[in-house]
Amino acid sequence: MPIRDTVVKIARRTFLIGGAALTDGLVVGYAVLREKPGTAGFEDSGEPGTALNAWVKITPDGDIILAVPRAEMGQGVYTSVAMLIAEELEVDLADIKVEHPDLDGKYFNRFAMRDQTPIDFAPALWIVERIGARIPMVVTGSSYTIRDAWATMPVAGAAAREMLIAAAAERWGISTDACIARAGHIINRTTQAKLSYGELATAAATFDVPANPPLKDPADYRLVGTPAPRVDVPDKVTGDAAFAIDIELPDMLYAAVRPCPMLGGRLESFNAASVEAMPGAVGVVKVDIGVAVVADSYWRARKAVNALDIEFTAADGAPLNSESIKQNYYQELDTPTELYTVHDDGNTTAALNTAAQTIEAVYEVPFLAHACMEPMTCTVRIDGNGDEARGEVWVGSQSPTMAASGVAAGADIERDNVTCHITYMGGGFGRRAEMDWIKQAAQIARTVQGRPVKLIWSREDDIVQDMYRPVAVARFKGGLDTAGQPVAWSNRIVSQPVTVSFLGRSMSGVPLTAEQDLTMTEGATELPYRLGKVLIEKVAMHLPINVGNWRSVGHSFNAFFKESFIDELAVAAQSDPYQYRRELLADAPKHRAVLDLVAERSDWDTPRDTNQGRGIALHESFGTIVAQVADVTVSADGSVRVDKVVCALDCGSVINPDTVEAQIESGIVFGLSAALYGEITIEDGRIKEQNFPQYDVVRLKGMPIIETHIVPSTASPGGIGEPGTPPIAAAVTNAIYDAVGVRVRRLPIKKVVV
Amino acid sequence: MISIIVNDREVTVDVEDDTPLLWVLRDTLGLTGTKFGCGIAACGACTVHVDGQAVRACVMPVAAVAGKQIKTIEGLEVDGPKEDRPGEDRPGENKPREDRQLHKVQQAWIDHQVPQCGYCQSGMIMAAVALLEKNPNPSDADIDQNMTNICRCGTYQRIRRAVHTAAKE
Ligand code: FES
Ligand code: FES
Repeated sequence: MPIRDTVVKIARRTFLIGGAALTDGLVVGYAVLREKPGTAGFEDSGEPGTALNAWVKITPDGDIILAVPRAEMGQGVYTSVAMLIAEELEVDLADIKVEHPDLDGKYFNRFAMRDQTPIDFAPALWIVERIGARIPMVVTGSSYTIRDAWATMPVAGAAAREMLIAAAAERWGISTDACIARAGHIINRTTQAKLSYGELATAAATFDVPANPPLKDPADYRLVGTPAPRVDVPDKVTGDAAFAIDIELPDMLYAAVRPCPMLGGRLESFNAASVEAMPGAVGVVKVDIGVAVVADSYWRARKAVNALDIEFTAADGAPLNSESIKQNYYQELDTPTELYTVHDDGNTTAALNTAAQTIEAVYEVPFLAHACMEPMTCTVRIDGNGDEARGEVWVGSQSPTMAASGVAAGADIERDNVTCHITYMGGGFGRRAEMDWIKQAAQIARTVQGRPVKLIWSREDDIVQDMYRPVAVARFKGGLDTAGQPVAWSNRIVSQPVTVSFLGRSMSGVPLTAEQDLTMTEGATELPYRLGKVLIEKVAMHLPINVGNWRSVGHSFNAFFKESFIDELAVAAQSDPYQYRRELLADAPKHRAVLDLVAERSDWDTPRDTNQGRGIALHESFGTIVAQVADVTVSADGSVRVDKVVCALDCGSVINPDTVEAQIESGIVFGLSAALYGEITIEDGRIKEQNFPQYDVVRLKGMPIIETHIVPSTASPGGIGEPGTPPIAAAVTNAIYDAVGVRVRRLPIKKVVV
Repeated sequence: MISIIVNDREVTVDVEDDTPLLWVLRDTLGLTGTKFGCGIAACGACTVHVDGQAVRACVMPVAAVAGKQIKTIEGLEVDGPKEDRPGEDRPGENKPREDRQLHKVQQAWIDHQVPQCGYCQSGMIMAAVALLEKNPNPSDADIDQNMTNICRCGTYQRIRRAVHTAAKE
């Protein structure tokens, strides 16, 4: 597939660079050499360039500093990357300081901000896979950060170590073989003499960077694979961690916005005079989809914008409604306008027709909001006009490239003239890979030249201006032979192509068709089971509703569909849902091992009480195989309580098992909130659920006990941020079926009608 | 002009009476540890203590807490000289971290590695401290009933464990 090729080519162009730090000492890092991308959408100066990404610096004072631009959404990435470096560099994790340079800071050349920022090029894979085009941009998708750092950061650490050894060997006049690195020192094996890294750093910088430094045998790892405490945690229990909403700057102003409440609607008029006399009000600004008020405090801005006389007009045509959208989906399911065959073994229909038994089912999921805990917030300052205009942005963004683009677009300035300060993020989940709110902040800030303006969205603003997880509907037809084994599997998925929507608003000009967009069928096509003849089709819907990357994207619904239907086949075959899957995994030993582990640890075979049930689901995403068993209780009134979730996974090599466990729990809770309650409804052209608890989520009261079990592995690491989410909905609905015999085919579950 | 007592210090603020305590803390006093998540008392990100009770500051007009004792996450650390030091928003702020003494709940949060994105955690910690002050040894059910804050990162399991650990201290 062309997409994978692109990734490989980018990866091969990375190389190690190193040398003296600005203040002496040693710096080793990874650089990415990039050709002119020649891609529409991002204008480019044309010269090839290098970008230094994460790197390690050793000062003459002995400080070991890992410099990584901020990209922490809660996934523990700093700690994991620091562990990888520390392992090869032979220092303790506690000896490494993590530093967060600003993106135009002294370490980055001008290409850095444009091309590559957090950690390395490979967060780009996260977006590249979704875009399928050679676009020079970087996004931190939690699942990919570690997948890439695994490959590059140990090499940087090892290279630095070898250079320090070379410096020590020269100092002692001995061969490098007679030296060994231990605990921040190079040791002379013969005399046991020691030199600290600090003492050697400046001399080490004069040596060439080894192209292929020897890497440790994973069997010798002393740090990687152990549960290390996270470096960002202390600041997050004292209130010190600075999120975008916490940015305070001299002379700062605040902005609050009122977005058009009607989807696709527009601003007709507003009467600025109606609020100009309000205390602290500084100005009223028209933005893309609404009006903002700038004031000397957030509360004053909020009050003024709420009081503002505004007239909005609905979009042309009949107002959008979830009900009619869904009807439309069902029509398209039967008589598609834009149908693509994604996978076809041939003869699936014939195999269905001759099967001993055929089963058919249709499933449905709604729009979902991200509802990151921190509503979208962004501070921008614009100085000057025309070509000379400069922008500065403080924001929690999964993509510094998008942040710079957002400011450039909103303030109509050059992207190269934007400096990004990336803060901690109060949740990302795909929402902070967008740039809409950053652009909005820049539109506001350009009207108050020279003063930083902090735009804070209310929760309502955040939900009604979200880029939703799309509605999806799928029909399955399965054929079983007389023994109950599948002979045919046909699956048609109707949904909106997420990447087409994302590119359309973010990088118009980057061509991507619905056919090329993989999000609709991701998780539906890579089937580990023996299913006979397989046919996978997708029907693309084009609605005037922004859809976006929502934690695990297409996997979030395809796992629910597929794992529900497998369960239905097991029932039709009068087989145990675990044993049935297990048999179908004859060609997939890794999947089977994960499934076996979850069955064993969940005591799958133990009897359930009345109204209690146990359900199983298995799904691979982002290189990680996850199986979950949910135990549920269904009350007489139909309410569902998830008592326990046992999760097993194979995510390849584990850098920090504590982080894996935390991320898996997080993914499960995220998916469970969606499965139980999550629904964004469009009524009369407006978003109905605008805040918690209308848009409800799991809280402590609904929190199951979660157990996580990791299959030991030395393979390269899979993602962990997203893979916990996909299987949980089906594990729960399969458990409901086990408890009360009701098959839930539509999310959210809300109440079960027994 | 309204006087409130924040983390044992009396401050006078010049804001409209209806300004929520949350924005006074954050924007007027620069105590940004208390977070904004919903503005309608539905998520708990803004939880602070008013006279020892957990309160959602986003819906609490500042005039309603005039003269009352307010404690925020910044006031939770048990160490520290209470007098101002230059440039400090909180007592002991400029001390090296090793010399700062965390509240037992904060320490339990570190021991159990609770935070992920961290955004909800100030409110969670304040809710947990208030719970433990009323009920020094809560059961899981007590925790579930009393702590209704939202964490979108789903750190609830570790929160339960950390509350139990802090209770044992
Ligand atoms: S911000 Fe106050 S409860 Fe949500
Ligand atoms: S840690 Fe992210 S919302 Fe709780």
